[in-house]
Amino acid sequence: MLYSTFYLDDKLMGLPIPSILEIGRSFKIHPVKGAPNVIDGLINLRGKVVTIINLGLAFDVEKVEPTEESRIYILKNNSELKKVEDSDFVLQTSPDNIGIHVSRIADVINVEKDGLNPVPANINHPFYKYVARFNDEFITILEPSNMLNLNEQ
Amino acid sequence: MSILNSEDDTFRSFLVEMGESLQSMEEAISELEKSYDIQVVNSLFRSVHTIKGGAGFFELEKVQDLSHEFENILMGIREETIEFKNEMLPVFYDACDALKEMHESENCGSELNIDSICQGLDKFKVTNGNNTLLDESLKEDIKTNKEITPKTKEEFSNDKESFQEISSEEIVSVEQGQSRLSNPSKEITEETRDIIVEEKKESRHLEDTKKQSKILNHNETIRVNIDLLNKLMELTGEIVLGRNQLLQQFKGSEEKSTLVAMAHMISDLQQIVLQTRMQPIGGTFTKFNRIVRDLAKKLNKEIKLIIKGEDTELDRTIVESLSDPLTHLIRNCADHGIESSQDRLSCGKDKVGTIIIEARQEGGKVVLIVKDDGRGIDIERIKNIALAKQIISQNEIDIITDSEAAKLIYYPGLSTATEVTEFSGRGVGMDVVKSTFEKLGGAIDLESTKGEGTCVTVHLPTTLTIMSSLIVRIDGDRFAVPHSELKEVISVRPDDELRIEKIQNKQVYQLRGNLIPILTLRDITNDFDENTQPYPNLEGDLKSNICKNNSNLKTSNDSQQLFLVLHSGANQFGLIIDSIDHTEEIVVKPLANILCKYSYYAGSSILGNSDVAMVLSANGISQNRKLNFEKTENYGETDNKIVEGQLIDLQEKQDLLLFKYARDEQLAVPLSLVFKVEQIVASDVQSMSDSHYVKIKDKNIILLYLNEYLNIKPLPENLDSFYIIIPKIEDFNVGIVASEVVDSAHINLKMEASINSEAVLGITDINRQLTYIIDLFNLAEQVNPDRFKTKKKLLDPRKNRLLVVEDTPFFRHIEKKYFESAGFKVSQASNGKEALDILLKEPNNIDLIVSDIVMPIMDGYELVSKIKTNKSLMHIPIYALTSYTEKEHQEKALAAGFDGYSIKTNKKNILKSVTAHMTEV
Repeated sequence: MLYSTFYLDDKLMGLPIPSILEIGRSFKIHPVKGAPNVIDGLINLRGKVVTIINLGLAFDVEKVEPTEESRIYILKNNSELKKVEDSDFVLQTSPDNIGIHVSRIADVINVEKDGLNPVPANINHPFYKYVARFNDEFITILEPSNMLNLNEQ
Repeated sequence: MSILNSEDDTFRSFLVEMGESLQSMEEAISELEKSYDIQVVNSLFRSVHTIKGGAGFFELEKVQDLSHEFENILMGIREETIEFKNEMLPVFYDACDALKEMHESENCGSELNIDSICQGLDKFKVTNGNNTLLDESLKEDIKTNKEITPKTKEEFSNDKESFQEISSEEIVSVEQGQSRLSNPSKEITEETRDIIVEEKKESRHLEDTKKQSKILNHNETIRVNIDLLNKLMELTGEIVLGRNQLLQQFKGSEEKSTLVAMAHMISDLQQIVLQTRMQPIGGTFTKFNRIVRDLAKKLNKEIKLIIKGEDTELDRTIVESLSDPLTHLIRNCADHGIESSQDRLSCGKDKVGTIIIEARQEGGKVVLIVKDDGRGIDIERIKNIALAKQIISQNEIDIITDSEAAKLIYYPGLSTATEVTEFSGRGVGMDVVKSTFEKLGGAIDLESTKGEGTCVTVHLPTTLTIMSSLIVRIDGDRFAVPHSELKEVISVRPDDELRIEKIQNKQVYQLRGNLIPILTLRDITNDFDENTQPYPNLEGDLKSNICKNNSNLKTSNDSQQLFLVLHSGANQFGLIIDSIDHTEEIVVKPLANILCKYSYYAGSSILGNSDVAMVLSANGISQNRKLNFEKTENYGETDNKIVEGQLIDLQEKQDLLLFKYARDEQLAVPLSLVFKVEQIVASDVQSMSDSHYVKIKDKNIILLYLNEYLNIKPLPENLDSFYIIIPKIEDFNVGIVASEVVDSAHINLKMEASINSEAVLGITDINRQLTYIIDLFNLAEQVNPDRFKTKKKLLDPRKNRLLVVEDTPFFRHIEKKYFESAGFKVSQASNGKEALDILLKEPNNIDLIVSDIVMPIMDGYELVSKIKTNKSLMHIPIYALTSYTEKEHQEKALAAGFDGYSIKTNKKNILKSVTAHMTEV
């Protein structure tokens, strides 16, 4: 399974490629007054309105600023995910397309299923799904659905 | 071998068609209940026949059998071999229900027992002479032995010889009136019968759908998959956006004629596509007839349902979701609201309770009203039950207002029913009703008066997506405000009289008598919820992120302020903005799940310049818990738009235009008679001998100076500019000069008797100032005596007693005066019911009736129908006198039974037609 990896500060994280619609940069982000800071704002993606989450603020660290290096990952929505052919790949994001603003993009890696470890108990975080090992580095694979659904009440 | 494969497309479309047939059958049966009409029977027959045909094709035995029996009876009624009786109706309903059950069940009810219904239908079959004659001929013709091959009808009728051999048992069953032949060519034999029927009864043709039957809309239609329509809507939305972007791009350019042409075409396209999604709400309403009928029976009450505004159109997706909540509201009316006949009589009410369900368009919204004249909501009981269920505390009981208490019914679990009936009482209804309407973007209001009734009003947006909006800037960001929620824009300068004022640190503004709250965007976002935790449910190492994105929100300062007046239902408030950009048609895209809890945003939109703007929602803002609108409901008298949806009867209130002539004297004219008000500069006035003219849009308007007609002080000297009021009266093209236009007023008009001046209708007190009410009709007469003079015909003293029926006291007064001056003896009634009472008491005391159409309690249409069907009253000529000027209303009035029709503002015509009639008589 291919994963696209990216940096949040110095931490390396990844998302499965089949869940990504596109990765873009230099979008004009329109802030939403009254929404929590973790929401960077809305963008116009060729006629679609996509809500962008700031990864830094989601993890409660420094805010990711729009720079030359920062990227926005647009995730597929639930109905687009259904069309993914890999039957092993079960992921739920959200009914709408959501974007994640990251600070720096890294390589695409290939990790087999057995290379995926469950998250160790002392690093328990609702946004982490797996920890993968690649070339002597640890990469945390994210679980987007918790991030994308703010207030489940 | 059954083709009952639900994946099969043909079967599915049969089911859809069957559903439609069933619906029109119900409507037809309900029409038959009201009155017998052979057209209705025909349409019912056609529907049953269609179902039967399809059922046969798919071999759905039970459906086929039942529809066959049903069809037989209907056939008999059509051909007058069976007499229609009202007792047939419940059996028809039962048959319809059974068919519905089969329609909805998995295998089309193959295990359903329909025997009792079939027997019920059977009972009505009367084999009288004609019937056996039919069977005889059938028998005869069938006796010949030839093979049947499927032939066209023409061939068949030419060749009656070719019928299949039938055994004797089969003939016997034919004789018994049942054509349940057991051979495979059932279909063909049916056709045979049909043909023979046609042959035998030459005079009877199958009446065609070409005749206009009110219930059946057999318009040309095509069935289209709803996904396709949705995509069409979306794409049209995108085209609209693209057009907006293009227009923006070519704003400064000279050569954009093609673009402009296309832009217009796209607007048209948008309109039409929208219409594909619009559906008249009437379809949903008709089934309520049956529901009310059943409820009335089961609850042992007498209830009448009045449906109004069935033609009002709504987006299809909304219409479908309305059915359930409306049903619930109606059930509530019937169950909780309307009292038993005895109770009603003892309160002095009519024995039959009335539930009115009405739909109408207002601005960009559709208003739905469900109201009853029952016992109203018992506030005390509600409070007590809420207390018992611990929804409110003892303290709160004492301090909440009545309207707040009424809103307690929206709490889940609250029900004041003493027992749970099958219709209501479980207390789960109203909260679902409220949330359903709110999910559709609507707002629900409730009014109730104990002992008199309850009225529930719902405001719904007509389309969910494309809206014309005002783009404004607040603190650097752009926001869109839909026009339908925008009432007006107000600019307050530092030297204006009316300013934004503060009460306890909150801003307010006096808008024509009402104090409205003035909000800023910061207020709205702050008040929403003060402790936002982005991820409240998640555990783990998360700090809360309370700091909201409220940077750059300014607080108000003292220079010029601009604000929008927004309204949601009957609530108004102001929103401070920085500037207005432009108007744009936008496609409102719903917010992502993450953001949808911020209900002050209706959604987001992409503007012409590709920016994303948030769309504000007045509904959402007003539902903010920190805004308490109930207390403002009954404050003062304000303009009409605010009192929409209130139960208060508007009949006593009149709209007037207040103005001044001399500096300190106030005058008024009825607003409904005012065509225009224009501001004139003194230098524009041209004089010719004694008359003064002014040119408005190429028309010369003669100026009328009121002090020449009544005893008032003259105009102030040296006025640079003044106003002219142009009345809406035919042949009266003047401009009544005013020095100042004060305001419009909506008040109870209690006039004191006139002073010695014909041009003055009366004097009254408005806003603590003595005001003359001008009689525009009289002025018109004085100005143009030839055109307006009414000859005092010598009317036959035995035939000059006229009854004026009119709810607006103002017009009633005018009409009375007018007819009296023409020589009639006038009596008055303020609504249809009063009129009827007067007439019934002494039917020979009135010679002529002149009636308004729109009146409370009993309107003109009802009145005329009651009069024309009453033996002692039907000889009295009745004229409609109304403010509607469209031809369709005239035709409707004449069709309803009025002997003639006149428009209120055309006074000359009224008298002419009325007296013409008198001399005929």
